[in-house]
Amino acid sequence: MEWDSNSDLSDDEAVSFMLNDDDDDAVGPLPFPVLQTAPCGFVVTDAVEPDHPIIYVNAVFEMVTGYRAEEVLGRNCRFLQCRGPFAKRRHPLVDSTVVSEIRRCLDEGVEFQGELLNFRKDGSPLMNRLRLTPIYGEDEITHVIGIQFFTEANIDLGPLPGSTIKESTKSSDRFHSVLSSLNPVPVGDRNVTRGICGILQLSDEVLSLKILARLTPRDIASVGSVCRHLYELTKNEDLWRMVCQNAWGSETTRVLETVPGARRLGWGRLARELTTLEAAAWRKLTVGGAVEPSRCNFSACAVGNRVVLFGGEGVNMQPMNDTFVLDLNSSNPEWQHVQVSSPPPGRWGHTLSCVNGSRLVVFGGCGTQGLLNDVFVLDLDAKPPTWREISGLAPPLPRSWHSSCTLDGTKLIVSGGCADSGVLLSDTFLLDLSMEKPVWREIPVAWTPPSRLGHTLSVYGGRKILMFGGLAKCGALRFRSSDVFTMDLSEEEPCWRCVTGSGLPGLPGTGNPGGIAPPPRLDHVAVSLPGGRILIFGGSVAGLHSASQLYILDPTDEKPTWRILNVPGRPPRFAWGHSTCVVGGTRAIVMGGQTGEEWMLSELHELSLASSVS
Amino acid sequence: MGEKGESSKSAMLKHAEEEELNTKRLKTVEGEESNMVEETENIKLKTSDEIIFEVEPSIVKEMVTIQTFIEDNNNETSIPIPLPNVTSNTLRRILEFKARGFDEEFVKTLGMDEVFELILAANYLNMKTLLDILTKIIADFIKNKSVEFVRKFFNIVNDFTPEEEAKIREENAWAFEGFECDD
Repeated sequence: MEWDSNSDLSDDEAVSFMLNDDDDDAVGPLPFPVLQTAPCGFVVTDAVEPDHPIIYVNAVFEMVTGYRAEEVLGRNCRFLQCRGPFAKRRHPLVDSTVVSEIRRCLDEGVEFQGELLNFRKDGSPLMNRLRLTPIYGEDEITHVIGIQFFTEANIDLGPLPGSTIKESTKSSDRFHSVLSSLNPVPVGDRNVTRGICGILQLSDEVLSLKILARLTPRDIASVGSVCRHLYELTKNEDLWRMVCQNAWGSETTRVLETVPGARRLGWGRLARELTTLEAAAWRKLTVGGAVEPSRCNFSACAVGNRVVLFGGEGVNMQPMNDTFVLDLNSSNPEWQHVQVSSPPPGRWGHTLSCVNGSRLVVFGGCGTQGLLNDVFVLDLDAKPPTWREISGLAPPLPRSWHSSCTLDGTKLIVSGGCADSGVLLSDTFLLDLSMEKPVWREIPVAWTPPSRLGHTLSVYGGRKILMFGGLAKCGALRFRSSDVFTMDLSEEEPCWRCVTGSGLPGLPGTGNPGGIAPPPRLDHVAVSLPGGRILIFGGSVAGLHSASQLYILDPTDEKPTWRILNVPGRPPRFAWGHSTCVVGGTRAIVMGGQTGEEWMLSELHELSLASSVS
Repeated sequence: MGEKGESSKSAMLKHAEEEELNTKRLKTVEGEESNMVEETENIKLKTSDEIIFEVEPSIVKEMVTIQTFIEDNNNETSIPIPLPNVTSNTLRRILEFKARGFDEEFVKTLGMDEVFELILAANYLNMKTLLDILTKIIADFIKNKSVEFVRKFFNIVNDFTPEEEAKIREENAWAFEGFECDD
């Protein structure tokens, strides 16, 4: 990009402010051209209200006088004639004849031009070359616009009462640096050097909404260190909410908002913690109720702050078909059995995903009659909650131990798994559940990763999916995998790409492992973090590796690199076959898992990604 | 005050209103079919340096500030509308930009001061599309840049005291750090 300064700045945002006013007596553009080529202070007062309160000041006014907008709005401008914010009376050196002239012009409704001594907030003197223009509404003056051209006043006033010498030196230095950057030039010279930064002349609203809201959380924190005005702007919670929404997507932000207000961190804090993961910690969660009969290989999914569990494998390898809900919003969360009229056939090794807001979709798994490829949707908020079969045309092969995820909150993606006779699959299917009559569609690809089961699919960056791990086919054998594959479903012709790998021959992109890759595994847990990162832990890991180590990867990096995340607290013990879901966007709840012990679904492990508000 | 007199007068008024409505409809239709011969006049805009531009109404429609002004003034378009904050250079750029279909690449060839001027003008004229594109470019340019760069880029004076700056840097230190990691 090439930048050069060869044009002058104009400064008149107050006018746009007025023109966007919704009042009936809004007026057109100023009836005179603004001749000043150096930036000016701009003040608008309400001439209808008693004593002409200020309703707007521009950024130049703020920077030169040292008074912030919120300090002066609602007041009459005469405070500038007092030396410092605590003085009550006009300073004796201010020319009272000029003040009377201003009074006269305002009374008569004519324009005033003149020069007046004013004072900055720190007491240093300013010469204010002032032009006041009345603005007429229907038949009365509704506003007065003041244009101020400030210059240095060569007056020795001595120190401001109450301030130390050190302070006044410091403030006058600042004064110098501000004014020297103004670089006033004679009127008529078009080649003015850059004065006060142009961008701060935009209204806070435009600056925040249009520019700052587009930056990442880290950028906002960085921009907050630039100057006072930007520091103040970046403290705004609404701005942070927009930043979070732009950075993480509306789906993620919506989920974060399901946490009740009292328990929710502010957006600024949330953005920081979910970026740095500084407050991530393992916790043990004890809940009431019970999931009985006990089982393993169930599937669980979060809907807002509720965890829903379906099916599983009972004591005699019996497929179960019951539904349980755990409401983590309640002060005493407890498992509750959900009475439904016609549950889906019992199964294990299936997937449960959240779609369309508060609905859950079950696919596949192994039932009493063998492998399944049916689709059932549960409307959790219906009274009573009801399972409904979706007969989608052309379903994928019946399977278990496949992986699934939800795209756009409405489309179910299913991939891989184990079909009849133990054949491993590598296909990817999509079912759009927002349609009246959903139709299964296979995603055609030129090349697929090796077929596998027990892998994970995570959604990131809007419409991209990431596949990790699993037990993968390699010739006649099967190996645990630590490969990462991604696919961008917003592309015309989506294709699988290998991100980092274990160096298996023949695969594109392998041989580029970045960082410390997690040991190969299946039946692990993958958590999608806001912003696109993926967190991996647990699973059945070969050898003596600890499965409770947390690994994190950002697939949106130029060179995605695995990193270990060290987190305080005690993780679930060496275990696999967990079911995990993320509640409220920040709490990864880990349930079950093959520990060789009795299933204790009354004690859950939680990986909280952000601080909780107690 | 006879009923007949009133009714004929109201009929006349009604007729006049209908005609006006039809003319407006005609103008709208013509406005939509931009290839048709314009019955409507070009709008005259006078920039701060006293130069008058004749701009097609369809373009002026995007300048919501001016469009509102015109509508508030009974669609009076014969006198030039003053734009005290927009120089002829800026207006020329805006029209050029519009003619190129708001091509982002074009903006990148401009000087930074000019881009800022365009932003201020787009803001003043309330041209949403233009403002969105320009502010997006600015945002992209300051992404992932240092504090010093942002200051220099916008010519912002650092008005923190050294103590304040140190405190704020510490507060915002996370912006400049990586993960907690074990590399």
